[in-house]
Amino acid sequence: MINQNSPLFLAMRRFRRHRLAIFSCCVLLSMIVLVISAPLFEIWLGVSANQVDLYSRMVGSSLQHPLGTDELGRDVFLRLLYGGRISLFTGLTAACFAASIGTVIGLSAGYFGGRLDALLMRLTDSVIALPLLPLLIVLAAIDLNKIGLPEAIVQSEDVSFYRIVLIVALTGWTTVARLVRGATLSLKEREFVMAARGIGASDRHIMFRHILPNLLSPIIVAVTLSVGSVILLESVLSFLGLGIQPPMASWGNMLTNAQQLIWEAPLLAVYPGLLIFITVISFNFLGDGLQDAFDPKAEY
Amino acid sequence: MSDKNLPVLEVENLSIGFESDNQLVSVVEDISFTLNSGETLALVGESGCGKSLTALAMLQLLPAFGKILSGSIKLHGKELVGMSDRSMQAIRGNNISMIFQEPMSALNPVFTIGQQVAEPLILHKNMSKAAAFKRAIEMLEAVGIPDPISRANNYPHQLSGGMRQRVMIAIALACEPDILIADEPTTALDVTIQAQILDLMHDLQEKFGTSILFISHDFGVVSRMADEIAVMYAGRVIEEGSAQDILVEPQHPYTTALLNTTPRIDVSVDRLPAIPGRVPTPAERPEGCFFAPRCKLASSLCSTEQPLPTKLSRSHSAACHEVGNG
Repeated sequence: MINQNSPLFLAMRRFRRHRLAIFSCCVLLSMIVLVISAPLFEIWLGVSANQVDLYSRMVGSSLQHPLGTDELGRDVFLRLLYGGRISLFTGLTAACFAASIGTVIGLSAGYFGGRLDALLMRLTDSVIALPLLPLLIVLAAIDLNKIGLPEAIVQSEDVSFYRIVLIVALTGWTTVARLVRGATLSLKEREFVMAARGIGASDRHIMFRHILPNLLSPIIVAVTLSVGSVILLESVLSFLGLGIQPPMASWGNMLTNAQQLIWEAPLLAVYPGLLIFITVISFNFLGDGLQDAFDPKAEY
Repeated sequence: MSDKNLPVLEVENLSIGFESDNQLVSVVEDISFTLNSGETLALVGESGCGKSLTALAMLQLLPAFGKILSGSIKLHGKELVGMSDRSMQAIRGNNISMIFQEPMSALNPVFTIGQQVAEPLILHKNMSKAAAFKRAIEMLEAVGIPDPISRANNYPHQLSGGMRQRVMIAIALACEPDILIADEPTTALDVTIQAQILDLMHDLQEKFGTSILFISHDFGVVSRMADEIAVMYAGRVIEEGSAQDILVEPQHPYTTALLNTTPRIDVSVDRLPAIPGRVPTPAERPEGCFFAPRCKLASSLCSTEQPLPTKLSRSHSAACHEVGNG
């Protein structure tokens, strides 16, 4: 049963009036449906995404290859779908991980205050002050064998994906941490927190049951807005050869490949570039829409 | 009602201080009172006299810079001062509950009122969510919320101020506590609603046998509610007695002056008298009687020596040099 008066329901009703955000939402949803059904397209087209066919390199659109093939004769359409899986999934998981870290840190700093606050905020400042790109390059270059991870993980195909999610989560939590801390500082002075204490609630109960639900809307907005930037970051890293490793496709490393053939086959660069652009801008519009919908000053 | 007049809450020589710039300023000094079972004790005084602070001290919920300096607070003979936060959590909402001045902001905007009334039951009575919600609906009915079953699913922003204060009372009484602390519960409401809320508190007190510690600056409200009254001035209790004693035969010049500033329906005056001067801040309290600078009866003794409470009758006492010997 959906309570028609819940703040979330009212926000969603306001969100529906935001046309650009609704449109972005549809774009993203159809993109997600497409990338999830990538294996179906493989069966339908009768080729697999990583199948090399040197006799048909860089051919144009055809029934068998809707968007043509790349320099190794692989189907571009299928690779875009699989790359989209990686890019979208990386963006969403990394943004959620980063937001969870940021929420816990910001909530503890804001709620407990004092020394813990000072310590956590200086930590946040130092993470912000780190030059991001060199750091990411260093982190991406760490030899996982040497830090003692089991062979099975190091050798697995997905390791570059985990690595990116971890890197983004460990560096991207600062925005949410600051946001949550600020909001917690003002929320904890509200009378309902005192009232909760008055009925015998513990600190943990107050933090997670009373303050956190009031923070959900700014956190959701922040996560949505950060998904776009994480996808960009993934593209940058993959473009530099430090992100998702071939033969696994991501939009970023497809761009890298296309770079050498930019004059012979410009479309190979245009497709992933366009997808990155559309996705990032859709997430930004979606975030804007949510922000307006959650605005506490909005009318009911 | 066989256990009526049994002390539930005993406060002895309680002093509360604020820490500012490494200096300790005592705000509430050496106050004592006893709250008996099933009775209402009103703490009356002007803004800043320390009555709200006293109320918060009962729950050990003083603001971060406030501290209990000395004294004891006993609930059924059990000392609360110095008790661990964890043990206090088991008492708050369960044995002692509090309702606050501002019903507008004391409810969490993202939960339904049913959920909020159910919360203390889940915390203290080990109830399942469903059972607590069912009991919450009964509580909402008990505090006079019409159509409680559907109202339980409403959010605070859909309720009027009076309704919200009823919800606050339902939350406070959900676990049937021994003591209800009401800190100016009707100040934010308009007069007709005030009367309804006071009647409701009275009825519920009869029903649950709750003792009420009632904090107010308004003698009109206090006269409706209180069995016992303690008048506070600048952090001290200056007169204490039964409602009859204080309202009909006030002895302390401050109580008399304060009562004179309350408009009465049976006496018509053009201008209400005011007490000249203002309440001294904790840092600028004079030696001797704190009220001396504003008192018409003050003698030289008053500005040098602090008056001690003098017993006037079995129930009535006042702290004034002019009382008893004048």
